[in-house]
Amino acid sequence: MKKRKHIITSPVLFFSAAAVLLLLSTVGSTRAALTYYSDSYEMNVEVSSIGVSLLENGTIISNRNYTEQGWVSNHVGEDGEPRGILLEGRFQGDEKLVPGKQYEETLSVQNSGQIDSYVRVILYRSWADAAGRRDTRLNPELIHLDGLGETGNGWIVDESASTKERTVLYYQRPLAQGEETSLLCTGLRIDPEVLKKAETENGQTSYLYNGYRFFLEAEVDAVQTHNAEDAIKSAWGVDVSIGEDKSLHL
Amino acid sequence: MTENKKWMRRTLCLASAALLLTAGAGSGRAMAYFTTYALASGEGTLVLGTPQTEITEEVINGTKQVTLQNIGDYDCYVRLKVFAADADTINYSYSQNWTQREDGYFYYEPILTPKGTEGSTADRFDIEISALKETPEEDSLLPSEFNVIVIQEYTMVLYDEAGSPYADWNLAESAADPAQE
Repeated sequence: MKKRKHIITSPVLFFSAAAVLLLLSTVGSTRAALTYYSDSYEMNVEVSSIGVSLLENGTIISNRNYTEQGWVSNHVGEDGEPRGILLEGRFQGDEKLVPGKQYEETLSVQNSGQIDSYVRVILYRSWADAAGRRDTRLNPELIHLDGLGETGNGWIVDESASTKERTVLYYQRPLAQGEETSLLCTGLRIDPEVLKKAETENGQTSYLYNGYRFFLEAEVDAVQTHNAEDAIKSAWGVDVSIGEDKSLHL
Repeated sequence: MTENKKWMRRTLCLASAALLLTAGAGSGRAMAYFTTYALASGEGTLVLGTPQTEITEEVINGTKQVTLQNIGDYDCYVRLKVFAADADTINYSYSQNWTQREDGYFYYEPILTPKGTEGSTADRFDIEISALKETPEEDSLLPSEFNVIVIQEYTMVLYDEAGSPYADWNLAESAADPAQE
């Protein structure tokens, strides 16, 4: 009978210990919450807020920054996401896009937060017909972004994660507050190869790519530099190594 | 004894679960990293069309005056070639914008801009038929027929990576049936 009582006491002790641990973890949160209202914490908010902006031809077209008011974006899409518009007002209507001609299209990323961050960009290129149906028969590589993946501009391409439609690029150096990356690309160009996909019948030439819409999408991601390897693994699911000079390597 | 074992096992299981929960409560904070993102998308429409050109020929005083004009909506380059039964009897007269190359074609170097614009018409290209010029009209030796065939071709204006325009004559098309006089 005495032994049985001892056995009954053990789980009680275990649960008590667990309860105490849980309680302590709550106390920790409460302590953090108390700090939240202190003067010193307000200063910490400024220091620890993260933000990132995508620039097209030198103008911010999309961003998402953490501020005292929470997450703030200058362009919000219908889906509530921080979504800007690329190529706005161009290549529509009367402005004809000439194959082979380079049009200004520079993309870069700026650290618009208050902490250093590593950034990456995922670019998607695709073709769709007039009704907006994506057509995978057409080659997305004919939508050239000049300078993309060129060595020496600070951006490195993750070949293992890239496809014909998608290009994943990492900026090697961490960005300090307000710092901007070098240009990810310098121009947009439709390969003249599109003119070779044509058929001539009764003297009339019809081009396969005629009337097609090309789509360009960009996703910019930023992550803290503190404990960067773990942070990047957690946030992006990618194994990277950070060198002594803080440069990122795939 | 068996009952005691059951108690022990249950106890251990519950205790383990409690510890896991406690550990989980802590790990939630440890995995919170500062991240953010921004998105952008856009599109453009590719409108591809064939340039259209028109050739005008007029024979005045033994000279065939050839004029090429862009009557389409796209920039284009033009070139022409002249065929004659007796090439020695014809002379050419043209502006410096025309260049004869080794392939026998005469190339108009400037781009012909779309219809209605200032640069849509090429400088006139004259073909003097000396046999006609030198023969008095009343001369009975005047040939009743002298064939000079002009073939004109056009091609779209392309651009290289540096943004310089060029012509790919492999994509060339003939403007119309060869004209002859």
